[in-house]
Amino acid sequence: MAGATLSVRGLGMRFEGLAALADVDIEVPGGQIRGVIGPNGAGKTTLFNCLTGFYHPTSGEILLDGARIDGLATHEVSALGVSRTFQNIRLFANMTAIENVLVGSHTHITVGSGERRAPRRPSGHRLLDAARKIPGAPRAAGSAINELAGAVARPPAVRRVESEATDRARRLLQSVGLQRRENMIARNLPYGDQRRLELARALATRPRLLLLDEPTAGMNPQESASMVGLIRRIRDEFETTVVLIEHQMRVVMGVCEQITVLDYGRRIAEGSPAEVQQDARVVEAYLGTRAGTGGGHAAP
Amino acid sequence: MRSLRASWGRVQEQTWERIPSRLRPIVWFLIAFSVVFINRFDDTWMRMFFLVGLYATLGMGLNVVVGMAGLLDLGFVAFFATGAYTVAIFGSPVSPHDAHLNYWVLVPLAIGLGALIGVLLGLPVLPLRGDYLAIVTLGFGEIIRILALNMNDYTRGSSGLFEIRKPDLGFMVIEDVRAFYVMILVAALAVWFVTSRIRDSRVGRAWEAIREDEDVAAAMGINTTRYKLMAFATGAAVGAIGGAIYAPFIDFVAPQSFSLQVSINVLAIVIIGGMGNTTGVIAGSLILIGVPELLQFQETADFLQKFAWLRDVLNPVIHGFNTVTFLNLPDLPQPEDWGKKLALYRFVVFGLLMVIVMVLRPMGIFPSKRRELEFENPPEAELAASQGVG
Ligand SMILES: Nc1ncnc2c1ncn2[C@@H]1O[C@H](COP(=O)(O)OP(=O)(O)OP(=O)(O)O)[C@@H](O)[C@H]1O
Ligand SMILES: [Mg+2]
Repeated sequence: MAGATLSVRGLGMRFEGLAALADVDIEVPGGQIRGVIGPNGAGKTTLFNCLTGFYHPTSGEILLDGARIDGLATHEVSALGVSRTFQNIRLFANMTAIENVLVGSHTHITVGSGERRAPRRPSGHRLLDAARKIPGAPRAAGSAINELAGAVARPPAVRRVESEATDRARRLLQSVGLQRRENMIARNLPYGDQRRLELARALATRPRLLLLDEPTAGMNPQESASMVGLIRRIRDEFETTVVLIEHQMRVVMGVCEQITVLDYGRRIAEGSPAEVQQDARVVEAYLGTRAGTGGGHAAP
Repeated sequence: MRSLRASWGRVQEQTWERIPSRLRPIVWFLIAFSVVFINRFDDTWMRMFFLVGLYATLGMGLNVVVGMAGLLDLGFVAFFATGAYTVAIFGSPVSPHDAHLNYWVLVPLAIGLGALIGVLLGLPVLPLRGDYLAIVTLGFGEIIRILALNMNDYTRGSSGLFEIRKPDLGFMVIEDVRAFYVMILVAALAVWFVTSRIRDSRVGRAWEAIREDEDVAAAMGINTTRYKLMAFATGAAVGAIGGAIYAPFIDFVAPQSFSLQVSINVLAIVIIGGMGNTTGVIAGSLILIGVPELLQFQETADFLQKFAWLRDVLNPVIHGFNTVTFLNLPDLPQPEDWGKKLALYRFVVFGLLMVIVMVLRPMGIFPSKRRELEFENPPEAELAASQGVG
């Protein structure tokens, strides 16, 4: 199964008068590495927040493999295979590296059929949405009690999925180069390792769409280069679509197959790295704020 | 300079962080000692042991909510009351609704009702975080107490319920303080086992993730609503167990036993003991519940008698001080009253202790194992930095 296709149609996100995103269309075919660039405040992170259910967009649609995901709760979107990292690293700071990854595996550490109904999009009426949950309450209570009982009694089936998950978490740590940091508290990891750990945690959710928000921010050139290699390898090994926000032009040009450019919440250009670099509007947007290529992007 | 301070901080941490693992054998020893010599202690002592065990149990319950899931709950007494009232309403001849049920039938009922009320109180506070959560849950604790006061047809209001049927084991009835102490010990061990199993499972990790960063936890596929409610329900069930054991022990269930003070005591135990750490909770209970009881013992008074000479030395000093400063400080009380006086002011001492702990040891006196672990893997980056700049 290759990565999921992502379709964003007419997406808008307003914050009290400020249009952080306006009428944005993006089509990402399955398995592509797509770059999203744009000056500070262009709306790139806001786009990710909409894609992952952190924000509910004020207009437009988001489709994953043709099914609407806008309006769903964050955990529902995640269960459908959308995973992300954060611009300002957000690890579970007081948990160990491997625990961070295991939290990422959460939805896959299940015993039994784990049948899952497709999540229902909310109607927009709070009371109606609340009422819709009532019939499912006894079932939810039953499964919660079941889960707690499994945690306490630890039957062989539970032990097996736990140890499988631990093995898998170890392999993930290994694939991002953190095999020797397994039991370190996330907060104590060096900065570059924290970014790698975030990536391993995102991969643990088994994403079909992986959203990376400035994965090389704050890294030195060597670290950035190895991150670029890692991202390529991930796309191939984990069969996922990757959307990548990036300020370092070297990274963007090196790894992205297609690039979408945002400015003031609007899509101003799209195309191959070479095309985008030549686009007059892109040059203008960038010249208006700072030099066109490379350079030190200040932390937001 | 900065790195010097960092390494001093580390030395300091080292001494502190080792405490929980050193403390564990002491706690186990104390428990074993109290059981082996159970017949040597008189009833006052056993009562203290029982209360320490009870509060340790309650603390482990609240620890699930506050320590593991990071939900600041100031209304824990609500679940304690639920457990006590379940056993009392359905298992006391003076109750208008006596169901003539065996105690052991009522315990699972109490646990179930406790968990249910945990969920019901959890539902409205789901969107709240931090301080707001604390304030609303504080209100819930009071609501339950006021309900108990006013639902005369069930609770007999402030006249309370008594003659509660005792737990009958078949070969013996649990009536004696000693038997109740053993009972609370067994319950505490069971709660300890259950909560630590859950902590080390997918559920426990989900709770910790929510505590660390709720939004990110959701982004990892965790249904935060579900797991928060599970934390409330688990904690509440433990609270109800405590109540169900307390009711036949004290044999008087009335609203005045379920004041805000209970919630505060339990929370203080969890915070001072060290959030997320069971040994710390037991130690916290010993310090905050055991010591004030101990201070009021006759033995303590007898012992303090030996310090009568201190009074002879210090009173002239106080008189002298009063004449010089126009203050009117009272004489030192009789030494045998010191313990009682101190116990009287224990909330002042608690408050001070809490402030000191929060300033010096924000993770509690005995922080969770996590922090020990952290220390065993010294962060290389920091080490390198401290060596470089020295
Ligand atoms: N929750 C919010 N409430 C109000 N305004 C917001 C919110 N989130 C984002 N914005 C605004 O939306 C605009 C776009 O922000 P966004 O974080 O998406 O920019 P960005 O492209 O990621 O920039 P950067 O390169 O600095 O990370 C900014 O003007 C920001 O202030
Ligand atoms: Mg951003």
